[in-house]
Amino acid sequence: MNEETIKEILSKDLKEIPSHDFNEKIIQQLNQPKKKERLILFDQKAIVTIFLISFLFVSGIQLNLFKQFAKTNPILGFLICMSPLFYMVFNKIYQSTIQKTQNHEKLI
Amino acid sequence: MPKELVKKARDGDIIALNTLIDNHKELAFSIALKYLKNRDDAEDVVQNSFIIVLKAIKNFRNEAKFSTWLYKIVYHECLRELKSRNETVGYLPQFLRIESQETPNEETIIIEVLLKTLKPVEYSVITLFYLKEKSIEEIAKITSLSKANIKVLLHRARLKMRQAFNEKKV
Repeated sequence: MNEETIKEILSKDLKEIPSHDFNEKIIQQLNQPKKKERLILFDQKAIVTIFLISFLFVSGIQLNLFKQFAKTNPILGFLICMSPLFYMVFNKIYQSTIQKTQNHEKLI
Repeated sequence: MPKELVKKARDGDIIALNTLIDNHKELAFSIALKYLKNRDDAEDVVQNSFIIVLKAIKNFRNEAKFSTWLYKIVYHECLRELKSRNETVGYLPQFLRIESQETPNEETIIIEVLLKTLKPVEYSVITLFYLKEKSIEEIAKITSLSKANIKVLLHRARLKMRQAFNEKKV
């Protein structure tokens, strides 16, 4: 039994898909409109970038000004680490504002 | 040509999309059927796999990469389906007859006899190797198995087919 025979047997064994509209179903699914995207003020990338910039900026200033570890530094560090949460809150506020405006427009 | 086909499909050309689906649906369905032993389930798995891959078609430059990813999804979707049924590939009954709607002719019976000894994974490897001319490396990517494992499976599949063929001849 050579390679060609194997190939021939395998190709003869291929099964046909029973439904005739198989391709149409797939194309139909592909053409369905995408889900409405959520409106956001800051995306994840922006949050991380802003966080890193502010972290470097604040820590740079702190090190240059005081040259030593001040008591307020841990609090400041904590606030910096919390900053992504603030952006998430801003996003939520922004989304609810947009939603309210849209609802208001619909009512009008 | 394959590059053009993917490019056209990416641009939303219906003919190109149909050609891409037609090029791969039979083998994808045969592999899924070998694993799931049920036409409806196999069709669903293949359909979902096509939708996943075609939605991400902008990431592919040529058909080879497209098909490798398609078969990878089909293969893993089959395993996932089996897992959800609480079945494992190793415990699948090997001589289970696949449901068929038509009465098979003599040639079909001979081919089925030759191929029924193959485990689903051996069938997947040998068909991808011979019919889609995938390299060992590509098949390893599709199945997430090692290259050595693929070589063993390929060798075993050939051996089983030869043995069945010789027995049939005798």
